[in-house]
Amino acid sequence: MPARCPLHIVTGKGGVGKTTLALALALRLSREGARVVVAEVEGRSGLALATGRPVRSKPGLLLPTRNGRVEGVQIDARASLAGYLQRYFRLGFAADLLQLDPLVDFATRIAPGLRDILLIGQVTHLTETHPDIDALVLDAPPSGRIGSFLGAGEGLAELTDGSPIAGQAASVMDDLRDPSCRTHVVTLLDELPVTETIETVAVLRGLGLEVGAVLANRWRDPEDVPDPLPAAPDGITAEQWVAMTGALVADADQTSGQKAWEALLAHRTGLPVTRVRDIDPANHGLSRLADQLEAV
Amino acid sequence: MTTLDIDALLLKPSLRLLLCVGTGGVGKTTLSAALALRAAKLGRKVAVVTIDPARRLAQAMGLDDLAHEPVPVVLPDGAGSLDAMMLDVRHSFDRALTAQVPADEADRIRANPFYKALSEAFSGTQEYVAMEKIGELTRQVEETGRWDLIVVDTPPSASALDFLDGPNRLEALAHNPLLRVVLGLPRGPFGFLDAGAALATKALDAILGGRLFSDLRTFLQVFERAVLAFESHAVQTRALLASDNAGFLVVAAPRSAPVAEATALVARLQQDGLPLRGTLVNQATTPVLLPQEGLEAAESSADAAQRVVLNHHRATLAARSTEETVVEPLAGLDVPMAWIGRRTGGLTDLTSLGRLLDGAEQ
Repeated sequence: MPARCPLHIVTGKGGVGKTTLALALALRLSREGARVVVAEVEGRSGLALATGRPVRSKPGLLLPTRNGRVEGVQIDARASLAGYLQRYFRLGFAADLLQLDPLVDFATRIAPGLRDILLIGQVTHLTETHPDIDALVLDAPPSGRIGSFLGAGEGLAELTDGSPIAGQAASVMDDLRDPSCRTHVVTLLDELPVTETIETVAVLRGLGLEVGAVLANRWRDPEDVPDPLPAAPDGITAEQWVAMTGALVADADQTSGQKAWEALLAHRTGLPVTRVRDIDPANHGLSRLADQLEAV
Repeated sequence: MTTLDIDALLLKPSLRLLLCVGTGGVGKTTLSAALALRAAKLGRKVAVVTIDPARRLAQAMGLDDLAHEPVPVVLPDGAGSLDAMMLDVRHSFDRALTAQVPADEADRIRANPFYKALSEAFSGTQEYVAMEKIGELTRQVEETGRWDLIVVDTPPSASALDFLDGPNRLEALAHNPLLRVVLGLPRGPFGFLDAGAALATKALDAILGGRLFSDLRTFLQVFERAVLAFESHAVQTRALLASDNAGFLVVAAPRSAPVAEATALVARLQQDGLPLRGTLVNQATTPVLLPQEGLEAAESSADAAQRVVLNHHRATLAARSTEETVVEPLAGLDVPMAWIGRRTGGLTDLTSLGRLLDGAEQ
């Protein structure tokens, strides 16, 4: 069997910048001239919002690149189910996908893991239908849901023991446990996201999945605080100055706090933490974010 | 853009139900608690319902942990009252579903594999249960007078629209023609074509295997009854959500993705005719206000140490200006807006929770 195309799964707590870093990673991977596809599931349309380009059910150009190509694709449950039924049971719905609506709705809601299995199966299947893809990046559900999403195969195998879908569930788990597949966790160096990241890494490892990088997004360089604090200069009232120095000290507390959270995170996960500087992705910012992901 | 007067909104006597909606990671849960606290301090009798809050937030309210029943929060004298509670999806769904069957059958349902899967992972269950809880609490508002304002933190979700769409999805499932096929019920005049039904049943059989069919049928019989009971409540709750007694606040953070989500959410609320009261830009940079001449004078005479403080101030001004650009799509809408400063320091007690809204630029 030929070496599989690398699959990078990107997760993290809501609001930490998963989609942005998934795009930055894709951009970095494309730089040597590779064709990289970023996939999103659950109809979240985060890729379209982030790039301003339409993202459809077939891979289409997502980012302007100098070298290589970054494409986006939206994986939807209906097409996934049709593909699955066609591949394994020769049940053709291709001519009329609309017929599938009640079935998709029914089957995937009654057993939620089924939907996840079909979605992941469709992502890994992309490399079979498009053999020239060099790398896949999955902008995955947030870390609160990532265990049930990536572990759906296990739950579903239990629920459907001995049924045909159980075989599909097992094969999806095999794909995810292949060394070519790694899950990266995006975080911020603050209490709640760090706690959730430590839990997420444990959950992923419990499923037998390889955890790649921990990306500490929105890193800010620590502020230097003069000691002792200077008196107010001319033109600024004592009250204004107290507020200004207070804001500086509060920021310094926050930025120096990052290092403590970083150390805790590295210690508890045994993984190196990659700092990603706070850069707005607009106006070539994405490229500067990609520069910081060389180690991933 | 007009500015949102948070206190005036919280004091509006007709406001009985305030819902905070927005995408994950914008600080919705904390803001809901802060708004509830503020309303209580203004004299209202408030209940705040949060969804899976951080333990730290419970502790900030002086509670060890939030319970599934309202627990009073100790407030300073002269205030109204504040009760806090947490929504337990599993428990509420269980209660709603098993209320439809005799006790011995309920145990059998709980052991059913489909029930287990659905009560924990179904997208829409959380939203449905939240709707139920809102309905239940507002009925108590009318009947007991224990509260006069309910503040609701909506479930975390990939898309902020899920809160509005979730209940419809559960109902769509109950009305799915396949459900009737599996249950062996007549399909009715609007059921889909027999050929489609046959193919779909074949597909379902292929996916699940025959063995699971009896489990599925047992579960669906109970499920259908439960959803029909849910539905009659949901109709009332939706009417309440659309009334003058309700208010939605869209919460965003000054970053492009949450702003795009919030903008879409505002459009959706307006389209659905739901009473949108304003948008909150949370986690904002809030520079100290000082006259430009003062800053320039200071910069011309500052020594090295003073310059560090002044440079930091300049940096926060620049950061705020970037945030204002990012928020423009939302600010450009004709909806009152307030900016809430980023929290500095820990969230340790009621004072730090209350401080969140003190600096709101209303």
